[in-house]
Amino acid sequence: MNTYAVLIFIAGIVAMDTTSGPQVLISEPIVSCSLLGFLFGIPETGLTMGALFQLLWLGYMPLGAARLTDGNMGAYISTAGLFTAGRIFGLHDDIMKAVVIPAMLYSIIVGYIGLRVTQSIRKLNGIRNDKMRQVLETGEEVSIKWYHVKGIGSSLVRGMIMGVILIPLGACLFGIITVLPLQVIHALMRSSFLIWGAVFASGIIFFWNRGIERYFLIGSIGGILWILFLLLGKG
Amino acid sequence: MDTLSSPGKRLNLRTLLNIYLRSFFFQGSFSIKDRQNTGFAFCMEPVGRILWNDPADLKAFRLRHLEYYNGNPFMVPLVLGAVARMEERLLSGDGMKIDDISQFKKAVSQASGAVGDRFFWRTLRPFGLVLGLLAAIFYGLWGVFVFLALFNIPTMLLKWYWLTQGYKLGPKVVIELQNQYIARAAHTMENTGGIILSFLAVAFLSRQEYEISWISAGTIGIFILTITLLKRKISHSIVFPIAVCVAIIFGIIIDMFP
Repeated sequence: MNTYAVLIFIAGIVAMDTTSGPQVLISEPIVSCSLLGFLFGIPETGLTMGALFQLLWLGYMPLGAARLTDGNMGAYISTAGLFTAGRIFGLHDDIMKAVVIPAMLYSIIVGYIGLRVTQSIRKLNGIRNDKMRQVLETGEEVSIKWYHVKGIGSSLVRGMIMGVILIPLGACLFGIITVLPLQVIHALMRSSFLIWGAVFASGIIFFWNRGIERYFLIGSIGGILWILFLLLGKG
Repeated sequence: MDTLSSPGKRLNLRTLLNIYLRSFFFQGSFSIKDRQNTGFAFCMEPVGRILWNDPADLKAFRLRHLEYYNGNPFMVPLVLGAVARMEERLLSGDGMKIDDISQFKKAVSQASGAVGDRFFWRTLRPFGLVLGLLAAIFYGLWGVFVFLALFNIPTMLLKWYWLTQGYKLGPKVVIELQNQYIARAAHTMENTGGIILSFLAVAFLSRQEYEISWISAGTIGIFILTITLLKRKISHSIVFPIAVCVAIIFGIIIDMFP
């Protein structure tokens, strides 16, 4: 129960850091998922999940009023659901690998929900803003700080509510994987590695759009030399 | 910081520090209609309380900073500092008009938004992330701290620098928007980020104990498929489920013919 309360609180912090402040990027998947791994005693898995989601959402940035899927919340809630399912249903490592793909699909759905809720909160902020201005124009004393804190608090509450509902839902969905036929579980396990191809492509395309193709060549040659170095090391 | 305590100026280091800390929550009540107007007024509040003692003046101050504002959250200290100086000049009757402040905010918000978004969101953040991922391969969880330090240390230093420069230079601070060091740093980080990410992609995707296997071939195939679809400007939210379906089908095929 204590862990669950911590998960909900962190969900609020992730939502707040993404859209309101302090925007020190603790909401990025590589940070939030690693923290989850640390909380559940599986730091390496947390870091791997963080890297996977980070590459997937590398090109998605909270720029002004841009309507982008909330990748940070998607990654956090999905990984929290996965680790919770792992603890509740006693999923061993292989099954956890099989759940990676469903977890990534779930993160996209959560990201869309996050986007919708953020849009609603921004509309509410606008209404509150108009009200504050009207009161100020009448000459009454108004605390701008208080109105602003309400806006920041809305983001915190948004994250916490999403966490309360979507983490247990995700955990239940991921638990269902255990009752699937063994052949499907095997296929999902293999796919969990294949999907790295898609997430690396997502990261590469972000830099590709800057017209720096020749630098990819340098990096790729470096990668090949690194593999050769490791092969030589193996004898 | 002698400029902050020289005669004729009313704001002190403490006020600037207050603005600086508030600027971390600049986007707190972002609205679709007026964007970050409340955030701007919230950050300027300490200035208003010091400069404008008359309630009517304070009310006018608050209302003019509740105007529409849309800029980059990491570059806003530059505008806040300059506007604080302009407010001081308005109070002392130093040739400054209310319209000048309004026009300055409108002009600089867009320019700082473009420069800041490019530098912080499109360059520093992804560069910090790929370097953090590289560090994670060698040092595990330390990679997370590498990323956080790489992004936050320069950001926090630049925010303070821009706030004090803005306050020192007033509207002339727009020259900071054309800072060549920033432009050069952004260019270098983009290129280095590309090199590191392609290195990681080759080194990681060819893993599988460095043997040619169906898994490696499938991973590279999905990589090429995803790149091709994304280059055609198809949304991630469509491309990724397609890649997942292909990966699952490929996983089933490999399982059937091991």
